[in-house]
Amino acid sequence: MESLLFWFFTFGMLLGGIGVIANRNPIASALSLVISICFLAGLYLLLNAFFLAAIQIIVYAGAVMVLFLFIVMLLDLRAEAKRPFRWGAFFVGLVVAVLFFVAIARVTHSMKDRFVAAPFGNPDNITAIGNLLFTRYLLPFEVTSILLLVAMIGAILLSKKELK
Amino acid sequence: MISIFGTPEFILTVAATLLLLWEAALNPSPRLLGRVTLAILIGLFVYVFESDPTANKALWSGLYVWDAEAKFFKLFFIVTSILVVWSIRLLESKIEVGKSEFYIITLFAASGMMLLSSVQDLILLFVALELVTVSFYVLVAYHRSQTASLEAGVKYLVMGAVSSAFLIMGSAYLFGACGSTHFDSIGLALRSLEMRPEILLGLALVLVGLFFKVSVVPFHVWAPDVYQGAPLPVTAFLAVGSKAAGIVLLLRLLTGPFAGEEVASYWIPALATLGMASMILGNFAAIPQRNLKRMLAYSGIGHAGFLLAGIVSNFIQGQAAVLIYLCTYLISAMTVFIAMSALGKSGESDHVSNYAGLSKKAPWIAVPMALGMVSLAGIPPCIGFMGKFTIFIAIWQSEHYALFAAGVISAVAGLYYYLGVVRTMYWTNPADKDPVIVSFQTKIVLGLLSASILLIGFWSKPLFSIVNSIYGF
Repeated sequence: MESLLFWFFTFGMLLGGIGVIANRNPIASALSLVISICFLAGLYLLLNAFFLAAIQIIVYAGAVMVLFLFIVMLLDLRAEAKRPFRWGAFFVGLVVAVLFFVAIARVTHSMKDRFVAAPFGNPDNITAIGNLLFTRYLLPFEVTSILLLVAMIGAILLSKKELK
Repeated sequence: MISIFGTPEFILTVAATLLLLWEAALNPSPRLLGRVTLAILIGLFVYVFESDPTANKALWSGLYVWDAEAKFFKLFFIVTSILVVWSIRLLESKIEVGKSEFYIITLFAASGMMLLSSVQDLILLFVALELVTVSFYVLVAYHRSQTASLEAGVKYLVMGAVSSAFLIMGSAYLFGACGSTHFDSIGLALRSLEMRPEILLGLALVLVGLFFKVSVVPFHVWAPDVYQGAPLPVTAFLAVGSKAAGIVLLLRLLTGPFAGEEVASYWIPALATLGMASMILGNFAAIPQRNLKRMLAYSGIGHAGFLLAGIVSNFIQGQAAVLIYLCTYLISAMTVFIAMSALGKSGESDHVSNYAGLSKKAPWIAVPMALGMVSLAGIPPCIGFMGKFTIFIAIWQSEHYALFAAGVISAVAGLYYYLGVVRTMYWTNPADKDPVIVSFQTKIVLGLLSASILLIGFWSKPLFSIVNSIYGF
């Protein structure tokens, strides 16, 4: 049952990912990303990481993606104009993608015998995450806040209509 | 003894936030704010210079290290920021909106770079690198009414996102293989485990992410367009600061947890090949460029190749050579960029033809600029020669003869285009006779930079003794 669910979530995630790239319409693209994120949250659930799964849905699928959709609709983006298909770029991209896939597949295959069942996530992992975040990883956490501040200033500077 | 509140990043971030509040509440003139920014950076330089890096090493539960190498790079980034702020002051009239914020975001980027010189953990590495990169996304696109700047911003955004994706994917593999994100634990795991493919894949992906920042071939494609489109001070900051930030991370990783002989036998050939490709492609592609910013982008790719060559010569001398090379690159490149900014005040400054006959129009700009170019080309007695020379010695000692040959060929190719600019400035006639006005302070800054190009070139013992004391020989 668990492996069945695993494959279900994985294929859903991959299909969503392909949808993001393949769709010419930005709204369909963004919605595909939502689908992909939801299936990823399913994978977290299988690992007993309930908190991560919830955050994944609430923050990414909820807040971030809805914001994306808002912006896409506000800007009234049309479907991307059809560009002439470039065979050269396609083949180079294909070769790189295949090489990359082979590298990852071979590494993963070589790890097969050493796979251990993931440590069954502590159902109480909110406390654990909180503890780590505010003690050991306090510095990266604080740097993130500065990062968001800079991003906010930047967004205002680059997009506000009238600035003095 | 330094507490976490006494770390220079903390001070700089607090100062930048206070400047932001001051700007919002009292609306001071950008000129005044620029002056205060400069004062903060100079004060911070003195503070870091006076600090003792041996007093305590690990801070923030071991994620942050405060050692001699970190101190060196923090001073490096502060000097870079001071010169970048000077360049912003020169070009302030060209910024249409948000003049004050330009200074403040530069400060945030600087504190991110300083933080990068101290990282000991992959998570902190990623977050600090993102702080630098996000600041640069904003800075590159700052001339928001100019298409070139916006295009550069979008290109940098896409490339930055891709490189971050590589970096984070590699970190995930390393975490999976070693069970920790801390450099010490990774090093420990590498010594006790046999070489596993997932470690190599993780390292390769992290390196690709960093190569984007350093603009190493084949991850350099973004550099010319972004350098050309970005505002001039930002180009300078990218060329010197961002590149050095990537190099310090490479040094931290490759001479730290990944210094072991077995893993080094994998990354040394890779870095040597890419370094060779960068030197040759960078220097040869720079020859036909007629836009000075674009030319400097390609020359920067070539310099990245030399820096990689220094890292590859897996001797402690190699690391010392990298630090010396970075110092010489900082001084030479910033001289050129400040001279360009001084000229840019009175008109368009990108195209080489604008420099025709500059020696007659504005000798105060032409002389430092020529010195900077000659120094970048690596001609004695300029400081750039010392940098190239130490790198060549390190390569020779580590017996990478192919790399040595590539270095020599590209150094010779470099002469052609660097001296081409000098020739345009000195042996052609100016298109117009309008004199260029250079303020007294800028003359002092340019004079100091030119003097250090020549003086340190002649008498480089202090620089060597500083770098040598870091590595204890």
